[in-house]
Amino acid sequence: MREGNPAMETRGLTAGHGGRPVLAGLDAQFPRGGFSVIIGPNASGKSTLLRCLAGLLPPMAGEVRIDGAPLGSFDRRARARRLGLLPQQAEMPDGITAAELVARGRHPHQSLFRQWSARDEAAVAAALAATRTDELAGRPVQELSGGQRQRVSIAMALAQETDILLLDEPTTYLDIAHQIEVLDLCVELNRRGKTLIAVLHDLNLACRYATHLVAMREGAIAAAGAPAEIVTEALIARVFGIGCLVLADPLTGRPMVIPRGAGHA
Amino acid sequence: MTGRPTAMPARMLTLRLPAGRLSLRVAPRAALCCAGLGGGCLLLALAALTIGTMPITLAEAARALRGNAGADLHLVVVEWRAPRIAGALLVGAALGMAGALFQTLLRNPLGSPDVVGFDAGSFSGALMAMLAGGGPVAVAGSGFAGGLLAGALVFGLSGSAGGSRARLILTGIAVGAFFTALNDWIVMSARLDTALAAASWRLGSLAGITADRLALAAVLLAALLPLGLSCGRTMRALELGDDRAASLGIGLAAARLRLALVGLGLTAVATLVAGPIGFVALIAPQAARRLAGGASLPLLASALFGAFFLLGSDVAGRLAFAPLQLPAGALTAGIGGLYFVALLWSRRSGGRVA
Repeated sequence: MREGNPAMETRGLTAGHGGRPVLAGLDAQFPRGGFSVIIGPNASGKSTLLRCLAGLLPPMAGEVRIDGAPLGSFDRRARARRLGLLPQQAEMPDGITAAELVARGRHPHQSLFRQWSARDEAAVAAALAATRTDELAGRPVQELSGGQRQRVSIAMALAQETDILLLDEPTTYLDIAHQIEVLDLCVELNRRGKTLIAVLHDLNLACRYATHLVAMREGAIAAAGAPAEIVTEALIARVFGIGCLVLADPLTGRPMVIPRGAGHA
Repeated sequence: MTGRPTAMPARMLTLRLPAGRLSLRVAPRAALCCAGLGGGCLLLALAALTIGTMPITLAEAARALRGNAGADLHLVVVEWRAPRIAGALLVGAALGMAGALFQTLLRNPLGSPDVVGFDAGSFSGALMAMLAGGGPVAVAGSGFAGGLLAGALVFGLSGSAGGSRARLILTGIAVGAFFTALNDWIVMSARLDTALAAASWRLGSLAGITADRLALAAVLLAALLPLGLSCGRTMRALELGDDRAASLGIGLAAARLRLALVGLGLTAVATLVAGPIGFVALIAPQAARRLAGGASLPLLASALFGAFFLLGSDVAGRLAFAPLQLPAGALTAGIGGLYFVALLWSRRSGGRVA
């Protein structure tokens, strides 16, 4: 794996549900060590793309690659040690504690006879510490606040010890404080070397946090690159069909999208 | 071997070989619960050997089991009581584990093989093989096939595993009703002598247990129970939802099929020995989880609780209205009814369901 190669990429990816392609021949690259964020209107195919990257949705044509190797060439366990996923809605058994849930992230590293190695223990402790959920370890997850629960979910994905983490709308259902909390955590993880690929709804949060943006429209890529390079009024008009102002965020200098809406044309 | 309590997660005990090739993880409370249930089964078995219309001392029972007792004692202990006790323990364990497998697979405390019609389907198969004059192997195989058919119908009619779970349970209840009606019809239209045997079997009775079926069941369970236990890891991943389980490296279709086949196998073995016994598979996993703690349905504790529950029901059914004998299935159904009421009551008062 050469320096500069994308961590993940799709080549001619065609995929969809029930035989109807949502993505048609998509080529996308997600840089190694980046925090890539996929944006786009509803039904633009961003979730479909993320599901293909995660290997949850088999492509109808084309392929997904990790470090240049086709996703299909990994067996399930090997893939689970490269690629973690934070699904949009997590189910969990009643009464499970945070520590128990995080420990289940070790599944691909364990077997019937290697149920709990010293490395498992270290990985879970590190994941709880990185997400600052150690003090929640003994609490039932259902009793935690939305933000805490999302941090515990991320801890579980961290315990899986993958180099790439996929996040499907990790801030949905969270209030603004918890959205920032979760995204700040993502930045921290990214700085420590994890490659992140997320789907986000909020354009301004995407611009502020992403190192690499992938803007999708009708199952194709409208633009991809650093937020400051690609986010323009024309792009937002083309992708979302709205008029807007794009200003520089006074705090970060990143682009900030202000929709015009009715009466402010 | 080193054994030490780990700092985290709490309530767990880890046993490791120094080289790290083997490491086991046990929750002390669950281990204690299994030991207690195992001890309870043993005590209950000893009681069942000695108590009855003909009281027998433990020494006499031991003598009879060693083969040096009079004909009367031999008949009561070796021919009647011992096979019935062994049958209750085996069937109860099979049902308890099948319940834990299916309730996890269907992610619903009602998703147990007796509720969703798998054991009725299994019994249809077993009944047909019996009426056709088949031996125990044919009855077991046909029972497994009947369970498979019921399972295929339930999954097929409810729109596969992707459909809503409530829909799957309702479909299962309908399929179960269909097979129960089929069973009634088969028994009604059978010749009188076979119909009588089938009718007592159909009630879920351990009284008419036969040595050849019991032996076959023991052999099959010696394979199926460990297979079931080995599903625990997969079950704990499946509980986290399909996407998460897949991202942990689980092949969903293969994992579901494995759980279902082992669960159906266990159901078919239980049916072979005792007919369709309701409520053990429904109650045992939930009760075992309450005793053992933890978030998941515990496989071993469910099996042990099932064995304890069924043997207890059989002993109670044998003694409560002696000399009249109630089939164990009637007792488990009675207790199951109370369990349902308690479940609804706890739901009504806002408590956690199961």
